[in-house]
Amino acid sequence: MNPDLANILEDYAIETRGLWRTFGKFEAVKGVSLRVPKGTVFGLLGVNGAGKSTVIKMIMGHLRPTRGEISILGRALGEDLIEIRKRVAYVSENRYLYEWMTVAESVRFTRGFHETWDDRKAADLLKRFSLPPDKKVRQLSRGNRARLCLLLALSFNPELIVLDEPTSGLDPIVRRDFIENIVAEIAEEGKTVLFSSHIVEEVERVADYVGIMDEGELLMVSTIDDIKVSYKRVRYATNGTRPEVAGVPGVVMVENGRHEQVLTVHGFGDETLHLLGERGVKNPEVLPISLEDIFVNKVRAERERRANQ
Amino acid sequence: MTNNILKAMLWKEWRETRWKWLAFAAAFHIPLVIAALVVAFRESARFDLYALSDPVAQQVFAFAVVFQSGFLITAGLFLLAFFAVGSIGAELDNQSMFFIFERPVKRWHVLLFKYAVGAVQTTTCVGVSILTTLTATYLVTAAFASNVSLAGSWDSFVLVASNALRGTVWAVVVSLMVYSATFLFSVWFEKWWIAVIAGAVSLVLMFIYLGSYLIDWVVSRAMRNSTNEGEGVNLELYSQLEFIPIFGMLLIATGLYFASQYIFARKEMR
Repeated sequence: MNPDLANILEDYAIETRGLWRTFGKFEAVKGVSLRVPKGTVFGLLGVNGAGKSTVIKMIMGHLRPTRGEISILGRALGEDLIEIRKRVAYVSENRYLYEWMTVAESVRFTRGFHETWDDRKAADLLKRFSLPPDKKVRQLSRGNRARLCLLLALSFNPELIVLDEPTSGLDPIVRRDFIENIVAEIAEEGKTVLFSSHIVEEVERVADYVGIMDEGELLMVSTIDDIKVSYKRVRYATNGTRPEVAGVPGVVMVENGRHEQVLTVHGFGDETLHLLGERGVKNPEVLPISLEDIFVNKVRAERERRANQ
Repeated sequence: MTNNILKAMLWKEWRETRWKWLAFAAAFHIPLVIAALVVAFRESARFDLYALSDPVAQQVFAFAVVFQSGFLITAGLFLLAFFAVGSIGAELDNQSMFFIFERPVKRWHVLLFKYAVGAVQTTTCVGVSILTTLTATYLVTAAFASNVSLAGSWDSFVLVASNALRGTVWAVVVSLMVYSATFLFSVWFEKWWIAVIAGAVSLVLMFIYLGSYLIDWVVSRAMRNSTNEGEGVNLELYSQLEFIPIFGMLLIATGLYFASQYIFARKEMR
C-alpha cells in the first residue's frame, strides 16, 4: 500500500469509497463514500429503508459490495476480516443470540472467541445493566437483549463499535439511557462509534458527525456543530409576489406558505442576505435550525430533484 | 481456530445436540422395538423363540443384521436426512448462526466443525445400531430361548458380529454420503424444511436409480442361500469390503462437503 494512503487510512476508523450494492434490479446503496474519523461518534441518519443497515453490513463484511472499497482501522476489509473482527464489535439490529442459553452462558460462550476479553468489565456491565445471569435469553425483554448484546460487544475492548439501530424496539427510557449514557461513555473512552438510527433526536444528542442517507445515497456528512452554524432558516413575507431565489448559492430548500417563504440555506452569511436583497426579499428573519429540519429538508429536496429528473 | 474457540464451540454443540443424539440413537433401533413388540404380543413368535437352539441361533443373529441393514438403507436414510438438516439448517434458518459470523473465526472452520460433529453423530448412531441390535438379539435369545445359552451361542454371535462389523463400514459410508448431501441442502436453502424435502427427494431419486441394487445388496443376495442351499441368510456379502464403491461414496461425500463450503463462504447476512 502507498505510505501516504496508509497514513490517511490510519486517521479513519472506517473509510468507504464508492460503495454500491444491488439486490436484483433494486439499488439499495448507491456510491456511498464515507469517512469516520477515529475517536468520534458517527450517526448515520435515515428513514427506514434508506440503506443504512446495508451500508453497515457491508462495512462489517456480512454483505459483499457490488462495487466499491472498504477500509476498517487502516486495513482493507478483504485483506484480513478476522483481524478486523478482533478489533471491531458489531451489534446488529436483529440482536442475534442463542435463545436457549442463559445470560451467563452467553457471556461464557462469547468469551471463548475473544483473546482480549475482560472478565472484570463483563462483570461490571452485567451488574450495571442489572442482567439476571440465570435467565434464558428467550425470557429477556427487548431492552435486556439489547443490553446483553452491548455487554458482549464491549467486554472484549474493541476499538470500533458499530451499532445498527441500537434502540429499535426499546421504550423511551431505555432508549435514552442507551444513547445518552452508554454511547457517550464509550466515546469518552476514546473509542469510535458508528451507529445508525432513524430518530433524529438520538443522533443529535450524542453524535459528533452525522451522515444523512436516503434511498441508498449519502446526501450529506457534517459535524453537528457545523450544521448548526452553517445552516440557517430564512423567513420573510412575500406580499403577493414570490422572489426568485433559486439561483442564490446555498439554498437547499424553499417552502412556500400563503404569505411567506422559508428558505433553508447552507453556508449562510452576509453574502446570502445581500443576494436575497437583490432579489427583492425584504426584512428577512434568520432563524436557527434543528437537525430534524435539515434532515427533512435535505431528504425532501433530494426527492424533488430525483422526481424532476 | 484457537483452543478456547474450539472449547466454546464443543460446549455449544454438546448442549444443543445431547438430546438429539439420544433421539437419533433411539430412532435407529425402531426394528428392535418392533421385534420386541412382536415377541411380546404374538404367541407364535414367542414359541419360535423358545424353540430355538444353539445351532440355529446363528440364523436369528444373521437375520437381525440383515433386517437392521434393510431398515437403515430405506427408512433409516430418510430419518438420517431429517436429523442431518438439524446439524446446521436450524441455526441458519433462525439466523442464530449469525452470532458466530460476528466473531473473529473463519467461516470454513465453523462449517468444518459443524460438519464433523454432525457426521460423527449420524454415522456413529447408524453404525453402532447394527451392533447394538445384534447384541440385544443375542442377549434376548439367550435369556428367553431355553435351548440357547450365552456360552453356547457365543461362537455364532462372534461370527455374525465380525461380518456385521464390515456391514457397519458400508452403513457408515452410505450414511456419510447421505448426511453430506443433506448438509449441502441445509447450507444451500434458507429454510430447514426445504432442505428436508430436498434430502427426501434426492433419496427417492437414489432409490429409483439404485434401489434394485441396494435391495439386492442387503436382502436378496443375503437371503438367496437360504432357499438354494438351506443355510439361511448368507452373510458373505457383509464380509466384502469392496474398495471402489466405498472410495466412490467417500469421494462423493467429500465433494458434497466442499460444495457446502463453497456456498457457506458466500452466504450473506441479509
